[in-house]
Amino acid sequence: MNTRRTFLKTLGATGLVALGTRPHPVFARAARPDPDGRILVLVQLAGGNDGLNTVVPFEEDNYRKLRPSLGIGKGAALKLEGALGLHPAMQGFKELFDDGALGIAQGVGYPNPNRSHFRSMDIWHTAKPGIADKRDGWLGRAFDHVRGGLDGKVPAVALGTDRLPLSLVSTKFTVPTVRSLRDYQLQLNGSKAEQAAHRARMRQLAEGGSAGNSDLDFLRRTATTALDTSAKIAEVMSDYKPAKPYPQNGLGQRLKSVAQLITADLGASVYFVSLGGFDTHAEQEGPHAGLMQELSSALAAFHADLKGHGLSERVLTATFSEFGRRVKENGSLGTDHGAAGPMFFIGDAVKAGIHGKHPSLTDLDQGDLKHHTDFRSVYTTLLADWLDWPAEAAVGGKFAKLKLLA
Amino acid sequence: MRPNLQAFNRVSGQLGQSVFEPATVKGWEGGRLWITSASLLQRNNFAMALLGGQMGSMAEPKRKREFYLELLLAREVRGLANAKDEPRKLVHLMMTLPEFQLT
Repeated sequence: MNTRRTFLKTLGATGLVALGTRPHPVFARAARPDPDGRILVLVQLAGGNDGLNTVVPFEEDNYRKLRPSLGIGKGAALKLEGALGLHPAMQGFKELFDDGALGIAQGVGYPNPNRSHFRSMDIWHTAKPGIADKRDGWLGRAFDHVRGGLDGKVPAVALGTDRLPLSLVSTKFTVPTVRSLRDYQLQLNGSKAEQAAHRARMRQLAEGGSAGNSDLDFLRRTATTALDTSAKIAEVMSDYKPAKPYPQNGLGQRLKSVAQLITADLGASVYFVSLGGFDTHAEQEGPHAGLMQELSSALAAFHADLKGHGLSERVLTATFSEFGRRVKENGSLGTDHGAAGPMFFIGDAVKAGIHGKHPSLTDLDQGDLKHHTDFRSVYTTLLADWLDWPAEAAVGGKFAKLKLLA
Repeated sequence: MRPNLQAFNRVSGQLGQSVFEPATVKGWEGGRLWITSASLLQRNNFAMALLGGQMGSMAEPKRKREFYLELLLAREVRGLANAKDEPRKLVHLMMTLPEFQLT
């Protein structure tokens, strides 16, 4: 299982790592954070993001022809590589790309794309395109396999969603949903001194759990962890200084909360946040630009903040949406439900650049982009290469990994 | 006592325990799977919200320690042997005990 860890330990034991004062670049690269400390942040773009106007193939004839009003010109797009550019409102992503912290997987989707929001979102959450089985989600199934190692630890946190996202639903675990950081603070009445005294009593009464396996031992351990974590979160919140200010938008504020929970060492391996409004059937130009700006500025600030706290090596952020939109714009200056789209990956561990070709704009499937990368390949990569969790049962089969990590 | 059902529904939902609406069609497994550091904090805060005035006046029987021990825990708990706290604090301590989660 933990071959990388074992390998590094062996290296350390033989003294290889300690040869010089500065590690050889090969070793520096291998010295990724311990898998137990790695964190995956999922950002859901709900409604079906227009991937074609997000990562723009500005020189394709068919793009200009099928998007006469909504198309983004060569002059406006923020250049990436070759004839690809980002939506002009994505300055933050452009900077991440230039800094080597942004990877883009193109043409991600699944066979026989479904154009219903609900069904397609369920497919992305359950990783089961073939059958309508909503018992659990792909990450929920992965928790099942690391269950022995969790022992009361919070495997995941959904922040700011009304309901637990299906991807985090497990038949064996209860994942809490958190409206805001207030839910992680112990709420007490009375003066500061009275509160401190009460908290100390609670802590004292909960202590004394041995490493044993009785339910009471388990509860004592979890209760003391809970009290210590909430104290730490309160401390982090009281004087939290982001390394770079977050934009005053919803996603930015949710990601700031995620950064605070990570800084407070909550111990969750997965965080889930969502941004809605991507169902742009009419007059999409302004609203879509607003969403691109919110996504890009929020994630750029999040990455900069984590970097400032020395955490950007431990955190990998991935975006997904239930589908892209049709290549041809509609008659209402909008776009309708489509198929394949791009996914973004952000973090120090990311292999920056563009992964895979832009889907063809001439070889279409009933007017939609054809996917060439199965989303379960991406999930497999995130589980196996990043979280070091078993992937096969979680995604329902063996899928080729991508080279998403540096 | 008049419980606030909306508040109750909100909290039970956050804890993954929406009444008649399990997160998965398989239902709830319960047991240890209810408990994480986050859900324990939410339980603690729910206990505080219940005791924070929405309940009207708290009964203060003569032998309140014994009364509430019997009511909430049905057993003696170390650390509370000589507790002289006022009723709300005492009940909150009892409701946030690891032992209470087992009852």
